[in-house]
Amino acid sequence: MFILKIEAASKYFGGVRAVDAVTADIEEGKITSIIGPNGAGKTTLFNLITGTYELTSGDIIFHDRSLNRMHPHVIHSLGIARTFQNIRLFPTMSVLENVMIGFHSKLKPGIVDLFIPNRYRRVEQSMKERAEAALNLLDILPHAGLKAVSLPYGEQRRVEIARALVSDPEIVLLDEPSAGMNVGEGKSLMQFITRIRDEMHKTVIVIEHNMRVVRWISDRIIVLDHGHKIADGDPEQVLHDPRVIEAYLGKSGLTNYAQVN
Amino acid sequence: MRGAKLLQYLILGAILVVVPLVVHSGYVMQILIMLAIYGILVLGLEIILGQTGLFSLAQAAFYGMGAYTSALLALRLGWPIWLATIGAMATSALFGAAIGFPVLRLRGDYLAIATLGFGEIFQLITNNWNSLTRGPMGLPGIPRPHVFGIMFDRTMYYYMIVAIFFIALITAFHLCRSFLGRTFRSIRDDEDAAEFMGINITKYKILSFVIGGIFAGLAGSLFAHYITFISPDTFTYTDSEMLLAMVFLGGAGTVIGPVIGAVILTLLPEVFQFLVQWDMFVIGVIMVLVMIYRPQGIWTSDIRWPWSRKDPALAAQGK
Repeated sequence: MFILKIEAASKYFGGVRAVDAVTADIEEGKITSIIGPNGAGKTTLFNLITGTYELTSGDIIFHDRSLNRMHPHVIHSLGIARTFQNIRLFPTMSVLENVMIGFHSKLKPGIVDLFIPNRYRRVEQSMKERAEAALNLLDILPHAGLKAVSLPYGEQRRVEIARALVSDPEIVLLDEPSAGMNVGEGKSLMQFITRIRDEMHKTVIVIEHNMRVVRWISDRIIVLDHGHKIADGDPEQVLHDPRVIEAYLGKSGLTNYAQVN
Repeated sequence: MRGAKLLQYLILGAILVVVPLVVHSGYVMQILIMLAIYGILVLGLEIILGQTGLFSLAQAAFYGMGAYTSALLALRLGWPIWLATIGAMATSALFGAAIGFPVLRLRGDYLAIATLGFGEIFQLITNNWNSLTRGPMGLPGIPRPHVFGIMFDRTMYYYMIVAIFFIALITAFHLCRSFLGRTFRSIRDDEDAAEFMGINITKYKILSFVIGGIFAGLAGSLFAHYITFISPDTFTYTDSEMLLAMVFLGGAGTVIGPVIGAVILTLLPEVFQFLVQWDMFVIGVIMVLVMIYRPQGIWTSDIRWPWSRKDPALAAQGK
């Protein structure tokens, strides 16, 4: 069952073809990794899915609906949430408030709710409860009252993931979730990502550089290079594809690799 | 803790009630009334600038729009004053939304320039639309409010305006503490991230301008019916700048801070009157010093009063 269909999606910045006619179908309830060397267009593809950029051509279909030209906040309320490569928490807010913002689009409180005490309390309470549940899931509930930016890097990443999960999205896009984490933190995060799939039954798309991690968690890997999709399939098959190795290590690297093997 | 807070409010309230009975100086009363008006005005700017982070130089124009609307409705159409006040708030809110639509794609400096232009347009219109606003001659004879045939004198106006100020203050507090304030702050902190988290930033930015406009319209209307004479030179770019200075001096992002900024910047020129033309120089130096040593403003959320009890967690650490 395909939940998200990327159909010949292209994004050109002037002469630069950041994403060039990428076609891929994302399966529901699976972890799909997008890998590729720096500048391959991975984050641009994320930005196309979440509506930062308009597609130059092609289309992205989510549940039979085209996401093209939709505002990011609309796409979020349809059920696609994301995290960022460089952490983007709201610096002046506490951890709890950061996560509460993520639930806003589900509740859609109106200005009228402000002046009806009962409704106001109910809105705030349900936002708080949901946010606390999400924080609890990521084991950062004890830090709920702290300023988000005062936390260590790894915990900030967790706050970002909690903020993405709080709205109960169908697809979670994680942009290099383990960047800047040490081995232990990275490992527990990866375990958590498999829990998102197995226990919460969500579709996860993850950009990741750590190949060991990618091999371990992915159900499927898509490899991008210079905006093109060069490989697509299950981990073992993709990671042994000569074209993938070439993209990462270059032509001479390929010969070395062949000699080693 | 709650009791101590309540006591503080009661003492403050008692002082504000007693002041006009003890002080018979019209000069002092005048300053207090103007303080309350500026207080309401900066609360509006605090929503736009301090909470949502939209650098607006048009607050004096919204203020003037409120004053002119209210005055014209009362003078030309003979509306009762409370209705004229509501009309003024609605007009400022409407223009807040109107300015919102075209300029909200702009950020930072560019937004400031666009709002500055809006302020200048307001200046030009009030100065040149002679048949409506009498241009630079201004509008004299704006009616004062009255109840049961008794005209409001200065003391009555004082009580009314202080009461309205506190209603505005509580409303602003409530807004900023609620999900609405949180949404505004998320836009201020990181507009793009907020949009990815499902916040319709265009809607909330316009809402911010509308709320700021309502406060400004209210302040303008109260001003017009108190002074009974308005002219375009009360609502210039310099006044917008002064309001900005109040917000930043007091502490943008807090609710009380800008009000304190308004108190300081309204009182200082009066205190330094003996310096004649040097007063603005001294105020400028004070502003620069505050910005160097306390760039976040005088009032910040982590401020501790000497009489408030120590936080037990901090006390345990020996701080």
